[in-house]
Amino acid sequence: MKCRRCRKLFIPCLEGALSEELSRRVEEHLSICPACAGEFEDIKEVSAALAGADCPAMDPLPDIRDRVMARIYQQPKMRNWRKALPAYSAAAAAMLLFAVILTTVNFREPQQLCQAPQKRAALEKASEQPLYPAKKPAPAGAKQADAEAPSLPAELNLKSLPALPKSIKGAVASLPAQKPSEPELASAKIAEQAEAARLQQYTQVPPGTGQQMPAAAPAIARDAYAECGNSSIAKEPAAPSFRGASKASAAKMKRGSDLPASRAELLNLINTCRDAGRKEDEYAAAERLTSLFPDEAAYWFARGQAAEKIDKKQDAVDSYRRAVELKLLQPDLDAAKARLIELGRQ
Amino acid sequence: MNKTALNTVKESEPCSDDLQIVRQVLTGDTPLFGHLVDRHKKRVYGIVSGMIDSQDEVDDLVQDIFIAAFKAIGRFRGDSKFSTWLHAIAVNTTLRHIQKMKRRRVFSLDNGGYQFLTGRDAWAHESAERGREIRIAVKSLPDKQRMVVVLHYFEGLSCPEIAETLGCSVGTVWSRLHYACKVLKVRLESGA
Repeated sequence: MKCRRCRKLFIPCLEGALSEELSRRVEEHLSICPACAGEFEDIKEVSAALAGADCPAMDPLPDIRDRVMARIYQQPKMRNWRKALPAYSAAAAAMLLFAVILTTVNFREPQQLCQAPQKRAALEKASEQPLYPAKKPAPAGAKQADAEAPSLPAELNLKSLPALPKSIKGAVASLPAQKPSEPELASAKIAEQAEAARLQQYTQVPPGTGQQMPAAAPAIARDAYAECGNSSIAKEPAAPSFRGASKASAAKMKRGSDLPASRAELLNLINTCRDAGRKEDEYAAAERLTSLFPDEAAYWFARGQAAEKIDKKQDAVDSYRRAVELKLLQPDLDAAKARLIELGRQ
Repeated sequence: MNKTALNTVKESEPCSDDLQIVRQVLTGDTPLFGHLVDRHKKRVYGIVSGMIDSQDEVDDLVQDIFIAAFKAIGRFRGDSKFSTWLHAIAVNTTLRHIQKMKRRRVFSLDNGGYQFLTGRDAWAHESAERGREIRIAVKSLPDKQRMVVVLHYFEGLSCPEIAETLGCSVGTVWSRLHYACKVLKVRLESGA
């Protein structure tokens, strides 16, 4: 046995923890090695001194148990982190959310303030641009291609675009609509011709001539409907004679019940009668117009003119005065005042 | 409390009294922990007083050791004796306290050197003269060697028990005792 190996076994040898074989080998080495033997004696001496030393431990406090138990009872209830984990997680999430909200609010407001003029300028710029690019100058013979230029769909409803600026809406409204089909064109043509024929009842034939109405307008209308293949309309009975119509309409106009109710028709009727020299009808239409729209100064002025033509001076004065009261526009206002002065002299 | 740790406690443990008390404490019978304090207070006082001279510090530290044991009693697996487990807590707590006190040492102008704030040495003067010399010599040992000496020679623990308490091998305990004895031999001969 070597010295290093033997010195490691001094303590277990003194404790009696070695086997008989190891104890015998240690003793053999100590017998032949004075250095190891001297160190073994030193350790044995110190070990004996330590084991026999009078080093009593401190006496425990007599109330150490009470003190410990008192501290145990004073201890706050031990936290169960597993149970408290959801609460802590919720608190952390709430704080994180609050921080995110605060950050968003604090940084978005100045950004919006900075971007507001830019957005406004972009909108204005966009409103100035047309919805469709401008057409390039078409080459010769390309008219047919122009006719097939893109147009807005017929079902496009401008009311469904509330967010668009007014200028864009105006541009959209001014764009060419979809090309109408042939039946639609025919129907529009029929409507125009029917309106013209209706007006011819008052214009083409002077009153009291007794001439037979040529029935041109109904014939045109029937021809137009026939062109569209609308045979039922083409088989309409012939229009009444002008004489009969004139008499009936004159009688009804006297009662004021057969006059048209729309503003445009009454105005057209007044102009037509004025051109045709039909003073009574002109006055009747003007009277009807003022009864329907009593707050229109121009209508009262027209009634005054019509009343003068049929020598209804008092009605003319009242009509002019009413027109002046309703702030008739120039130059009719001066004319009305002049007529009032003239009628006053008379 | 950890019920799984309680279930791992074997019924046929030699120190079944401690295990039964631990089992009842785990079920909520806290006052029974006082019995464990009464049973092990002397050994715990010996361990702590072997390392620390101040009576007040020893009293406070012993209380801290038992409080720590009560808090950690749910982690007692029953693989070893309760006394061994409690001694390990005492050793670790004492060594940690000594390290903390070393960090709080101050410069003293009276003796011209560093010293520990260990308080009074009255208890050491009350011991026998030889015992006082030995204790002073042991006090000069490194902490780990000192703890092994206290546990082995003052508290009477065997080397395997010390190894289990400290969590080291028996050879380590033998080695620490060997070197401690060599140092003490020199210190005692020179008058420490």
